[in-house]
Amino acid sequence: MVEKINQIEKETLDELSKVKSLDALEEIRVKVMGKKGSMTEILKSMKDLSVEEKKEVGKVANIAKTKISEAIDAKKEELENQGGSDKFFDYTYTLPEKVGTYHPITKVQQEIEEIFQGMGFMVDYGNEVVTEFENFTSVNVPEDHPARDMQDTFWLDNGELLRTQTSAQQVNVMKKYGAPFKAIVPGRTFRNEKVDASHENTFFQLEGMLVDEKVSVANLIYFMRELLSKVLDEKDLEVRLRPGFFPFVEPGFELDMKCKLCGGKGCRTCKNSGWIEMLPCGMIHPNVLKAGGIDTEKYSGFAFGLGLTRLAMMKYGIKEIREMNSMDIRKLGQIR
Amino acid sequence: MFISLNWIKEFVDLDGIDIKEIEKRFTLATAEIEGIEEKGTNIKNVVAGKILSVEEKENLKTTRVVKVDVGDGKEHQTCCGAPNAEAGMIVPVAVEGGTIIGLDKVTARKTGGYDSNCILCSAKEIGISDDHSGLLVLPSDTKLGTDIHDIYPDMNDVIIEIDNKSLTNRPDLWGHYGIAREFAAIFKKELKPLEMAEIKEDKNLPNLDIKIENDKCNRYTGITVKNIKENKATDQMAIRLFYCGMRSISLLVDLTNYLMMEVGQPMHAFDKRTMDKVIVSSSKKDEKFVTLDDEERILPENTMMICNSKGPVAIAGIMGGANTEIKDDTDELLLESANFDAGTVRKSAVKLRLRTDASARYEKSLDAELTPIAIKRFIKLLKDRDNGVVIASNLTDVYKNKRPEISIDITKKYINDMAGIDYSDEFITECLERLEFKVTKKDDTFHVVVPSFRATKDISIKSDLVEEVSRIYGYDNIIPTPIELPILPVSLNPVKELNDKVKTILTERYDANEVHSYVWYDNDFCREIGINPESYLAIINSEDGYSARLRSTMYPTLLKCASINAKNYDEFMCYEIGSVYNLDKNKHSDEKLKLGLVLANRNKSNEELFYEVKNVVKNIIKRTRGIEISVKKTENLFEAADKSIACDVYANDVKIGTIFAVNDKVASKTSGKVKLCLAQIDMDKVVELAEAKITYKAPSIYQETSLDFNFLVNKETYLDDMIKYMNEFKSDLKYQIKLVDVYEGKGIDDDKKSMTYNVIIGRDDNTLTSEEIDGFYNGFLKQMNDKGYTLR
Ligand SMILES: [Zn+2]
Repeated sequence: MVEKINQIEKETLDELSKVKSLDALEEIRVKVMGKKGSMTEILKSMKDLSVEEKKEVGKVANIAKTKISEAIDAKKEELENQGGSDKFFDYTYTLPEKVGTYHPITKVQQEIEEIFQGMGFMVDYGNEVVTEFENFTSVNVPEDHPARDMQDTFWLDNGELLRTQTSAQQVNVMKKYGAPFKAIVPGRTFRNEKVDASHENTFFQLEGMLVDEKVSVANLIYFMRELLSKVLDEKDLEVRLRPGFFPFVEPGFELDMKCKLCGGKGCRTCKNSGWIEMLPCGMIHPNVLKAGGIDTEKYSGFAFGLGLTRLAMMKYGIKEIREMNSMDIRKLGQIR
Repeated sequence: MFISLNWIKEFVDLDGIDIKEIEKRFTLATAEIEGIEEKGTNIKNVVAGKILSVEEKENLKTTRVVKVDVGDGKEHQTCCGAPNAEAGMIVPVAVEGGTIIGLDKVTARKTGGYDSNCILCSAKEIGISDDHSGLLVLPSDTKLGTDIHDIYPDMNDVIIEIDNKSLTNRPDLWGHYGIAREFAAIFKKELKPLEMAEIKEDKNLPNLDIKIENDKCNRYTGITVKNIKENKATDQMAIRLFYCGMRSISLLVDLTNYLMMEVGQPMHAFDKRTMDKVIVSSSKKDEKFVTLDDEERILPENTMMICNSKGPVAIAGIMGGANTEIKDDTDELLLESANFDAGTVRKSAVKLRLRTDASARYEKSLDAELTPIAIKRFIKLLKDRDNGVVIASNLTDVYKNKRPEISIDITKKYINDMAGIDYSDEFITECLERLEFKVTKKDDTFHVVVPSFRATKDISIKSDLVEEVSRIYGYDNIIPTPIELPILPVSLNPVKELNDKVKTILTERYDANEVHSYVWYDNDFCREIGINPESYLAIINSEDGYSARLRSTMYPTLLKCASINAKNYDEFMCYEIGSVYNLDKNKHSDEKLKLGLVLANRNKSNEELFYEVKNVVKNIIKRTRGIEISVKKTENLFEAADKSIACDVYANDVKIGTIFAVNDKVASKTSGKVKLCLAQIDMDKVVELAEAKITYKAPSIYQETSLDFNFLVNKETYLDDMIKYMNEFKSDLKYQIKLVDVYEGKGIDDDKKSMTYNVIIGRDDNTLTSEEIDGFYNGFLKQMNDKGYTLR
């Protein structure tokens, strides 16, 4: 029996020396010292021995037990101090995941809205279905003006229409806030066009307006330059104005940005002109200010339109405009 | 529009100004230049040559061997396909090394065994016409070897293409003379006057019989000319017309086109034999008319027409008729130069789907002062070409609607405040005068009279003058100046705040994908999946050919989205915040903002999807408004819904949306085996919900007791009903009930289910005694038993 005890002791100590994890250690402890452990069983079987034998075997057994316990404790401390086990763990594995995404226009729109809010602009929306008055008459498009055809409007069977421009909101915004004010109107707009890779009938624009005392063309140029550098995140942006005709502004401009790719020398992107057409803008036409109930002798202001869809496509390098409304998350599910 | 620089130079001296500079200044001051093309310089080594012989060869099917003499003493030979080649003819010859349209380099070669070392050219091949029917025949006295550029000095030109759109508001720029005037102002050059014939009133000549019955005709000016013998325009005129996008047809037609492109006034030449009088009237109902292009057109009622005593001869401002067309033998013409109302012409052109160069100009509101000018210029050019012509009538002019003169009073301060520049008095005056405004200054005020050609709609108010001065000054010379404005806090738009927050929750917490779609139904798709959603507004003129019905609900959009993405994914959640449209009682659009949400999964049941979506909706409302939603049976079930797995969603007793699983019939056609659950939330109602205040409640400091109840209830018991009933229990103790588990199946009757609740009870002022606990337990259980909820 003593032999058996010594053998268990030897084997256990041997095993313990090889143990690498707390779990394995606990396993050994249970196997040897647990309720049904080998050492426990031996001690139980001592009850059949004589008193003499009990004494002798008991002594050996106690020593062995103490040794094993101490060895286990020592090992436990050693392993605990190691800070975990040495067993293989594949930390390169990643759980399968699904990542939610935003529509590209949402991201661009939110960024721009925040820039404008930071400059004290109100953000306003307005309806997509508007009256002919809102879309045309209120922004000074005369009854017989070709613009009413030119803009290829979607007309509805109740005589209303899908707005062709966020400018349809100008007069409503003026009435809502009164002068002086600063506001932007982002939103969906529509043109009656056949859809293909570069034409869409549904896209997003952003209308901006600033009305105050003594607002000038020089202010407009400064403001638009600063704004575009912020939106496009580009320093030293050069802009230029050239005449552009929009009934709701006078004077009206097309604002061009110097082509970054060629530095103004002319390349394919800028169609060899050195400039890229960015946005229409101008001093708000007195008739529009009047329609919005604003005193044109005291106040002046400027308005501009940003193509949000175009900006989003530029920002993310999206080539085909029709992907924007495709609802296909293979294409659109990329914008975190 | 194409502008010939040669033509412009007839009116303004641009020598020494680089074309790049012209492009830049004109773009910045007036309108965008889309392109500049040098003409003629690409034609090289083409000289006059005489055809010596033309021989047919048996082995040549389509060509003949032609020998030519170009005066250099060498023999030139080519195989030529031109049907008009004939010995003795003088033609353009591209010699070895030469360049013509379509061929970069003429080289010596062999055709069917015959030497060929030059090419005889058509007019098209030297770029002065699109005529490729045969060789261009040069005058018989042309010296052999003369370079083609010396024969046609006008073939060397620079053609400027101007973006038509940027000329929409400038009727005065739809002709070369107007552009020349603009160049003169920009480059501070003198504008030469337009040379015109002097036409004096002659008592011996008849006046034309012109009647204006349609008051949309502002002015009608006419004259007749006879004894016209010449039939062909000059080379110069033909080349200019061709370079500007027109084809030379005959002298009289070319002249009308030339005048239109020069002074911007459309004109029409009638064969005088067919014109006894001129009446400007309107078409009758269902009237038919054959236009110059030999098309019979049904005229919309009340189209403005030019008529003779028998009937219509031209659609006013758009196109003449075949019945009065100039013929080869026409030697007397009636020349029309008229001014028609812009909107009337535009509407007719749209209705007739017939937009012409003339109508495009009339649409811009032409200056009525132009009509006699155009006639006098026409007569001058005609006489230059054919000095035998005789004027056969007085210049007859019926001027019905004369526009009042426009004058504007403006101060320097106004101009400078708006421009943000300090212009001097002199600069302002000079600028405006160069543009032919009449300026007089009294005290601080400029009294500015607008020239008639700018007064038709372009210039009428003070800010128009600010533009005139500033664009000539150059916008690129204006120094950008910051605006000084007070900084005030901005109030945020609640719709924006809600939208942004909802998008963040869906995208970042639920990993949903945001999409954008069209606001109308895809009719084909709806038909395919067997739904017929309601629509209250339809587009009546869609370019895509179908009658687009605007959506009154997001569901069809969501189904389409599911159908697109189920092809590629087994599970996904997509959403869009977008508008739907109804009609109000006045038939105006009633537009509402909705959140549409679709959850799709191949491996889950409709019930599971429903509960997931319900949790998403619950979370959105709780996060954004702090309100717990409640649900009720759906009032109006959408046709694609599974009628049992559906509910309406309420917040503060306001209905804010609907959730439903898609029934198998529609789902199988939409997304195959992928199950779908949809939700639509009324964002406009959510934004109006008052946000619930958060009041802090400290947890009880006394020990609370937890009791579990496992009830056996009818399977068709709603959780909401049961909880509501439980909460009606009256007790002095505070209690809180929570569902822990629902179980049906093994060990339970088929019509029953087991529902386990955990109830926490306690007091604010003390720990519970065992009597209190027992009392609550027994009382609560009794109330439950009364309703038939028994312990399992
Ligand atoms: Zn470039």
